[in-house]
Amino acid sequence: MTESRTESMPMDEGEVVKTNNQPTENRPFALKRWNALAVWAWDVDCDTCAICRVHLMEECLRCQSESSTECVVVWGDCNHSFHNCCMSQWIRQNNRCPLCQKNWVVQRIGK
Amino acid sequence: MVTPSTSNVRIASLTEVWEDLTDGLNTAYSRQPMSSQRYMGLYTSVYNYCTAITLSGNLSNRRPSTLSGLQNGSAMGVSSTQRIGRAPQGADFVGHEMYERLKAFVTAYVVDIQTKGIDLYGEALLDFYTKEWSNFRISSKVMDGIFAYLNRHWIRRELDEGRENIYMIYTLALMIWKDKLYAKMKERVTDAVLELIKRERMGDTINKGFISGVVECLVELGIDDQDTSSRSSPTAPPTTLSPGPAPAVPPTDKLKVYRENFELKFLRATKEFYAQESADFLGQGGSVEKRIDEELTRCQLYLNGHTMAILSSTCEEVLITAQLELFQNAFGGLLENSKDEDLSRMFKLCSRVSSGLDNLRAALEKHITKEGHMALDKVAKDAFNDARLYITTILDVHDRYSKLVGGSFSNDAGFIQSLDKASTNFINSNAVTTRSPSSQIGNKSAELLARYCDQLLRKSSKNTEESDLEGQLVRIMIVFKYIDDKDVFLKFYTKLFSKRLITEISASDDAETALITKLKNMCGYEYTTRLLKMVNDTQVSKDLCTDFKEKMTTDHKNALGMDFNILVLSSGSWPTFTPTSLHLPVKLSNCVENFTDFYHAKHNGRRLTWIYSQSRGEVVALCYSKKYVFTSTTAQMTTLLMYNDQDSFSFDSLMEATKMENKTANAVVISLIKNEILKSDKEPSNEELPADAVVSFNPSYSNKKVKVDLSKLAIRPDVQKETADVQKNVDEDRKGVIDATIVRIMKTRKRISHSQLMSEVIQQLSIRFKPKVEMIKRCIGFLIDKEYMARVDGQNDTYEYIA
Amino acid sequence: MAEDIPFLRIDNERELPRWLRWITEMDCLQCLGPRNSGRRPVTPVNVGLETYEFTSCDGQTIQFPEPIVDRITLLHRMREDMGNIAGVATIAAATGANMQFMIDYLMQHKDEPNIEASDMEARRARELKPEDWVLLDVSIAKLLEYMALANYFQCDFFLDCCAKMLAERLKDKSAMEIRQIFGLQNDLEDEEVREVRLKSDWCLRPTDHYDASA
Repeated sequence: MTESRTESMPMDEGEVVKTNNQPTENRPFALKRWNALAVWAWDVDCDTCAICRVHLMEECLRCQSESSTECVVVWGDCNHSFHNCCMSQWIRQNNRCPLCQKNWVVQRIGK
Repeated sequence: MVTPSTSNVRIASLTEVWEDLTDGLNTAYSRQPMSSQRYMGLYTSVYNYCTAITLSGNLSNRRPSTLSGLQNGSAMGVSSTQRIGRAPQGADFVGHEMYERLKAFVTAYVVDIQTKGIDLYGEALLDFYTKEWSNFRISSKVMDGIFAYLNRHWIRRELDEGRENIYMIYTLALMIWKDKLYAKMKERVTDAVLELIKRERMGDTINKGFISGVVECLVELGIDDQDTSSRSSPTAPPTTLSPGPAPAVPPTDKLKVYRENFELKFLRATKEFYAQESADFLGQGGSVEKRIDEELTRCQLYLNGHTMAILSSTCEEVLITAQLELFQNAFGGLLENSKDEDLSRMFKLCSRVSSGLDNLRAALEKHITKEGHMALDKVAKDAFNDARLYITTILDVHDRYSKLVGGSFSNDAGFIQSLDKASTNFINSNAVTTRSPSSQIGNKSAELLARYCDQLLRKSSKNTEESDLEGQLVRIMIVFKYIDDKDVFLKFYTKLFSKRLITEISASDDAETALITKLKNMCGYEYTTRLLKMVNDTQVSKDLCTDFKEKMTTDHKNALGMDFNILVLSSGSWPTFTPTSLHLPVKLSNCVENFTDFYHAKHNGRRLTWIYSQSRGEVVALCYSKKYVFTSTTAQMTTLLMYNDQDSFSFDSLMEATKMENKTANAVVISLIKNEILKSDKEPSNEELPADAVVSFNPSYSNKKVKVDLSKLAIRPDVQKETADVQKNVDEDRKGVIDATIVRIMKTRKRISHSQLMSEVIQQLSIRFKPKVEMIKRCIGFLIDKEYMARVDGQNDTYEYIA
Repeated sequence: MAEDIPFLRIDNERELPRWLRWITEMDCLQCLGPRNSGRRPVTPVNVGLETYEFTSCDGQTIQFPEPIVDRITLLHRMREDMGNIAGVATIAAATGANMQFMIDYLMQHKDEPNIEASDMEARRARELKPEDWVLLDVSIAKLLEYMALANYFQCDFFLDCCAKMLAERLKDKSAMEIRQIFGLQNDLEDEEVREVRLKSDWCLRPTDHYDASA
């Protein structure tokens, strides 16, 4: 990366040159604005919820039909992930991870 | 105890009375003037005769068990009075005698007339018959009035007691007319009437009174059936009040004479007449409706109303059903020449007969299909790349026939169906769609419609005014309705919509929402879930930006040094973007780091992927004689910033420094060279620069505009590639959708037969696309392999769900 | 109908006094209630109404006003057939007074709905109005005259009212009494009595015995 020096430029767009406190003659180009684009996804190993077989980025089947609240993802200590609502239904019957059969301990819940 | 004796009542002898009565009857039947006094006198004579006889009979004769008549007729519900009433036999005898004498008198009169008319035919006969009938009718009414007391007294009782062949006086007269006169000349009369009608059909002017006179007579001659039927009912003895047709008699009974002697022959004659005439007649362009109207008017004017319906259907049978083929042949020509009025008339005509419209519907479908294909054939070459031309061509054809169906065909459901079928046909497969490569599963129409939507909804495009936009959207939906591959449309639409959202070039948020709502209304909530999520993402991103900027300010990290905005899209809802490798300048990576920290603090368990290819910005150039603002892609920005440190790089080293892939590097550098911001010592060949080409800064850049968009040249929209990309996954996606649908059905049904599963899948997917049976079968096999479901043991073609 | 009742035929002038004498001499008339000449219906002022002249048997000229013509079948038919209404009513019951009574009665009831002559159900169901009890509170003999008149003119409306009134008068009488009132002989044989009783059992009271010996 050859671009090493930093121009400190104000956020407001207009008076770029005047507020620049460094010499600019030998720096032909200055960044003015950046409209970035990023995509987010759940940080998971497997894209699909093993319980409802729906993609984790989509709402689980139950939430699809109710179209009410946000349908988030839950991770267990075993690092397997499922729809949170699917998992909470699941553990009423069986407190084990459906994939690895280890005891289910919630590691984190997505938001 | 005093007994009022009646024995000395003078019994008027019938011979005595009859002389005077005959005189009265002669006066009545010769239509000589009769005074009311005379009428009253005759009436009183009859009255006296009847009552006197009764009194004399009371003492001398009695007949056992005569209570029944009284109970029927006059009992007022008091037991004691019943006992009093009795019907003396004397009255029976003499009443009968008077009745017989009357009968003889009328018979003689009628026979005399019949003799006079024996040699008459045609109009002379009708003239004679109607005149005599009219006279006879009037005279008989007078007679009925004079003899009213006989009706009231003797005849009524005879009828109540169920005596056969006894009629009320007026009815008696009609019966005699029917038996002694009409029976002898009915063929002649009917023939004469039919001949007259035939002459009128041929255009002659005729004396309509003859026909109506005969018809009225025949209707009235049905009266005896009425009497027979009502005689059995003691609660409704015939009334003497009005000798006309009595109410509440089934018209079929009442009209028996009319139907048997006239209507049948009339309908036969009608059929024959038109069977001979209509072929020539239609050939000469005559109007069938006019004929039918004429017939119905004739019926209304001087036939019985009963004939109306059956005449109407007879005419329809001869004039329409028998000629349907002829009409159908003409129909095509009328369509061809846009004779909407004639089409409307033909529609009305053929709608009169059952299944008369079937072939017209089929012909219309064929015609619209043909017109649609012809219109698209003409523009095929241009329309392949011109969505607007394509869609407006389709809509022009549809509009034309939608108006025709709504106007000339009264929006008949069958014709709407023809329009729909034809539209589905030429919209989904036509000269334009067949130009696309056969590998593409989804049809071109879905794509072009989506592109047309994009044109309409874009800010920049030279669109019609906002006010018309809503109307345009409605028209889009007309075409959309017919598209088979709605899933392909959705793919293209999603792609183009995402572009509009990312680059913020939607003409109006309201219009975007309006169209999404329309799609939702037609295809259901699920169809637009993704689109709505996309809208939601852009809104959430706006809030994120605001929050992020606020945080930067409060943390005094004002050091981003530029205006930073971001869109965070949820993966899965948007088209897939492939991340490209790029070594960002520090200022940009600074943004990335700061925002990523901010985002992770706000959200848990999410992974952010930055898509530089879709990130754009502005670069200010301060090195020229005047200041320029370059709108550019992130890769262009990165490349430009390289020249802040030195004036020239070899292409190789540029690539090395920015970590751009060869293809991206070529596109970016060449775009900058074409814009004359950079220059190269070697010409690019085939859009590629040699690795050793020296690319250097061009200090003498100049442009009239201050704001220059460099990104346009860097990202050349490659429509063909885009199309291929979208098409590529259609098959795969459909498999997924079918899988999901099967699983959903199996989950609710648990156990289902193969054929039922197939039909449910096809039905559920019909709003998306038309799944091929082969594909569904493959999906079922796949799901069985994956143990989502299994064949039920011992039962062929039944599946069960495996939880 | 009323014409079936033989005693109604008092159309001979010579018979009438006999009827009247017989009725006035009858002891049992007390049980028919006080003799009353009846209240005359209010004679309407026929101003502006078209009327038709008729001569009664006692030589009076009687005016039939237009509104009641359709209630009197004879007149209705006469107008239909002759186009005019006129004549002499020659039967004994057609006295000027009786005819006027009928006319007045009909005028007073002219707004009642017309009942088809053939509609026996409706004719039976029609009940006497309170004013009818007053108007028709006349001697049985008078009632019989009115009925004869109504029968002659084929005026079922009036005839029904009179017949109903007569029935009311007779309804509490036993068969014996009725026979006494009208001076009838029991000409039924035992067999017939049984038959009648069998048929009419539903409406006979225990007191309604046919006494063959009477």
